[in-house]
Amino acid sequence: MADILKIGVSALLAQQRALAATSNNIANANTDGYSRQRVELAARETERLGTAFVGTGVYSGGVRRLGDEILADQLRIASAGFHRSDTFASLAAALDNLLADQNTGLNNSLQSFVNALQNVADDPSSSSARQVFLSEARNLVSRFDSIDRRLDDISGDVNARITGAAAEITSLGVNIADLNRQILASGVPVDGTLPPDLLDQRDRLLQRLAELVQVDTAAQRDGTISVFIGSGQVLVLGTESSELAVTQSPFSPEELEVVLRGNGPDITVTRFLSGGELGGALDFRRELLAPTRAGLGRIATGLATTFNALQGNGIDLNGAPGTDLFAVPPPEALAAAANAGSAAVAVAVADLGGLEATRYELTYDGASYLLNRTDTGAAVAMTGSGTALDPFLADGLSIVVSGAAAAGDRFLIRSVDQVPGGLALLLGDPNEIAAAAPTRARAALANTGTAAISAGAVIDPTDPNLLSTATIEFLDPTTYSIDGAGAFAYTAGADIDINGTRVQITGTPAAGDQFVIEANAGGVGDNRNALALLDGIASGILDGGTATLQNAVARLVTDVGVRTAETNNRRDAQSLVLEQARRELESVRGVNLDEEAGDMLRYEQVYQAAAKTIAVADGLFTSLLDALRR
Amino acid sequence: MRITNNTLRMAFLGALEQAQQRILKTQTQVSTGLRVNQPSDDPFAAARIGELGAALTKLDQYQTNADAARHRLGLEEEALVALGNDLQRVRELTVQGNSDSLGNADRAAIAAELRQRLESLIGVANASDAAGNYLFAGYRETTLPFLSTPSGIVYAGDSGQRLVQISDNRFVAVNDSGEKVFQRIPSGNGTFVLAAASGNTGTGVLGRGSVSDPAAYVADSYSIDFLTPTDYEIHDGGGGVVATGTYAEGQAIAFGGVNIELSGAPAAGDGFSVTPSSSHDLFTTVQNLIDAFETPVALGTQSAQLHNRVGQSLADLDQDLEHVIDVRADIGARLQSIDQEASLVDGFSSQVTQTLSGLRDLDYAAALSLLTQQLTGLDAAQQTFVRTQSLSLFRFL
Repeated sequence: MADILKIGVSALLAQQRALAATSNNIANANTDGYSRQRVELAARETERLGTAFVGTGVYSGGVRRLGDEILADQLRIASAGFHRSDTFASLAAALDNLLADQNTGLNNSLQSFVNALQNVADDPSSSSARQVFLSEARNLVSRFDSIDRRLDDISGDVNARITGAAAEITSLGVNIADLNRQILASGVPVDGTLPPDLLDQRDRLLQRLAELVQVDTAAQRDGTISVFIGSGQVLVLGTESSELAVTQSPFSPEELEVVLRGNGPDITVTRFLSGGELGGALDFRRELLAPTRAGLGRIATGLATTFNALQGNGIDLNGAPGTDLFAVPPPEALAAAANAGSAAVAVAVADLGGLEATRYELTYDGASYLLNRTDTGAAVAMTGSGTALDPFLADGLSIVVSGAAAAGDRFLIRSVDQVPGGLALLLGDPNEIAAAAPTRARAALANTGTAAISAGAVIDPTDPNLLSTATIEFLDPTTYSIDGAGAFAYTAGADIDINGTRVQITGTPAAGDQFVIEANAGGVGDNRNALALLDGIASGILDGGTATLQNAVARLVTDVGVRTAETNNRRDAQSLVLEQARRELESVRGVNLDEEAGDMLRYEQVYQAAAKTIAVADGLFTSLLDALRR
Repeated sequence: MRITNNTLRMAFLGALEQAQQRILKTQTQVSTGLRVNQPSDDPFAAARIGELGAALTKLDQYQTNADAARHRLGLEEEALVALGNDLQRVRELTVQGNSDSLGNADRAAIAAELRQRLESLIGVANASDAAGNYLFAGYRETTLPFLSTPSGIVYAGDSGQRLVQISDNRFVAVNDSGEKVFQRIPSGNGTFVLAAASGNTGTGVLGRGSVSDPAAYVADSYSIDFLTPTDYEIHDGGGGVVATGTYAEGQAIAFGGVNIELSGAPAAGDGFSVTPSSSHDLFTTVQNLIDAFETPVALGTQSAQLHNRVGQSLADLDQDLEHVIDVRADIGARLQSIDQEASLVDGFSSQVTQTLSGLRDLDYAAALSLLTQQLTGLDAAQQTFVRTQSLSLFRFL
């Protein structure tokens, strides 16, 4: 009977404990990251009674935590992938409509600008048409500026995300190291049972860490876990953790770099980090934000430079030579803070058609200079020797290096990034729009031949004799002299260049016929240069002459749209993967209330039965005592 | 697979979120009426929409340009109609005044009317548009083009001609310079100009002259010199004798591919010149006529001189009239090409609008039926969730 009692009590205690575990599971059914627990029941050792073995009750082996390291790891990978895409997509959404908006998009501003110029060409002496053109030019400049500001805002958002993520990763690292310490302190596990709440907590932290950046983990035998980020840089090792810090780029303060700060010197890990919110923000900055800014800069540079050059070919309403309409910030070369040499780099745009939408890094390896794109890292071949007379030429840029560089010196070249924000309107007086050409050509009234001369186009506005009067006189129908000198063979329609002006004569001249090229004094109704400006802006300026400005805008819109759509799709796909991984892990560790209800009934019934066996044992004992009392 | 309560809840929430996102997208489309609301909806369509939108405003601008060109050319044509009418009247008066039956007083009266006509012609030549820009000043449209000076009418404009863009590759000239309209007009019969020497004593009166053989005609300054009232020699610019002949009234003098009619009786020593045509100024022609008619003449030599002067001016006037018609025909052709180009631009514009609409605009029927479907889906998901959540073993304990 004592046996029965002992067995009964063991059963009571075991079921009680099991019921406690069940109620703990029910209590934590909604707890995030909770792994359900189960009491392991085992039969006690049997006793040998003569030839028979008799059971001695039940034994509760302890509380087992139902987790799965492999599934948890998979969830972390899926989570890092999803949050990378999610962050990228939410940042890209801000950029998506920026360039394409129906009312404020760049296409429309550009076209309004061109249309206003058309109105000036229609009526060059109209001050209202000129006024409207200037205000359209102002609108276009402010459009570039506001898009640039928006890009700055987005860049600020990216920086805030990077800073926030780095800080949180650091604190997660500290907490994980601390948990490692607590787990160590709880004693070296004998049968693999570690404190389940600490493990749950650590899993939760790792899970959050994986939302921020892709991590690798390695479980150690002593129960601690090591965490690596990037390309194997240690964030947590045992009870030690490193700091993930944010520093300014060596080139420019507004660019942030992520470094790992441990015992040794800082290690720059920006390039190696992937996945998670941090990886998404870094990828967005590199893959979409920087190219968009550079693409925009390329368009602004193409427009402003082309316009300025053509404006200089003409004269304004006052008869003065045209001056620049736009102020275009020149390309910048920023020396790295750590440069040891004294070299200075000057960069200028040499060929608009060669410009690429990227930045470059110029490095000196001790013997020669090397140029690399920063977006792809690809090397760019340079011609020339880098001197003022023979500058390096690459991708439409001319690069002049002066002073002595030390090996390892680096320079960041921003060819066009600064243009959208720095573009400014220089002209304030509508009369200063150079709609007219500085010279005109005419046939003398006394001519008896049928030859006609073209209106004349300026090919070299810097010619010192541009405004001098020149006379082409035909000595006979096939020969002409210029200003009484020379005898040139006449070909109908051929270019004749005099003092920076190009004319063509067609038809049959007679001997003595004269054609005069002279300054276009008072030619306020002349729109030749306005037409040349229109033609210039509408022609292929970029990509080696194959892309017009409108084409380039369309391409920029497409590029951003495609990347955004692609990331949205990827996010949707990865959310399914994440969902699946979460479901799989959940299926192992999650609480099913129906199951717990069943367990509860099960343990309760056994508990009741065990109590009954105690009662029966008591009954047996009582009946024995009663029998003896007689 | 074990299903936990959390799994069920998460699955439902995920489905709910997706359904709501889809509904939001459809709803945005329906409320804006646009299929593509941001580039990522359809990146290539978005870029195309941007380009087409810009193309549309560009085409609108071409229509604006065409309207401006039409207006400008319309003004010029009006001025040219007035010019033609004035010239026609000048010609009538000239023919009238060239008759021997009129006395000096009659001719003076004609000269007085011609003077008024000259003023009117100058007025036409100095016509301006609503903005005060002169039509016939070339590029110098703010400078008064024709000025009366003691030495005659002086042109202060230039020969500039302005082009306006009416389509991607078509430009049309919207003005003609005063030099072209009023000054660059061939004189005489278009090939050569005849004139009687001022010291002629006979009564020889020149006709128009014509080119009978263009291949044989060599442009040079010829002179027909009468040695006797019937014998003449023709010299070229260098003084060499080109031909000799005998004059009979009614018979043309023919040499070097040209025929020259001469009437009346030239005297020995009389000379007539044949010089290549160049340009003449319409105002000078009228001024010459006024001068000629204002000078009293006696019958005979003086009257023959008058006829020679008036006859040559008449030839110039005919050139002037023809020139005005030519310029008007040119303007007409330009207006026509503007209309043609404008209708092409118009057609292109409606085509672009159609393409744009196809890319951008929403198919409402499809979108609304999609929205209904999505709402039904959402409703079903919500109902099933409530039902599954109400299933719990604990309810039976």
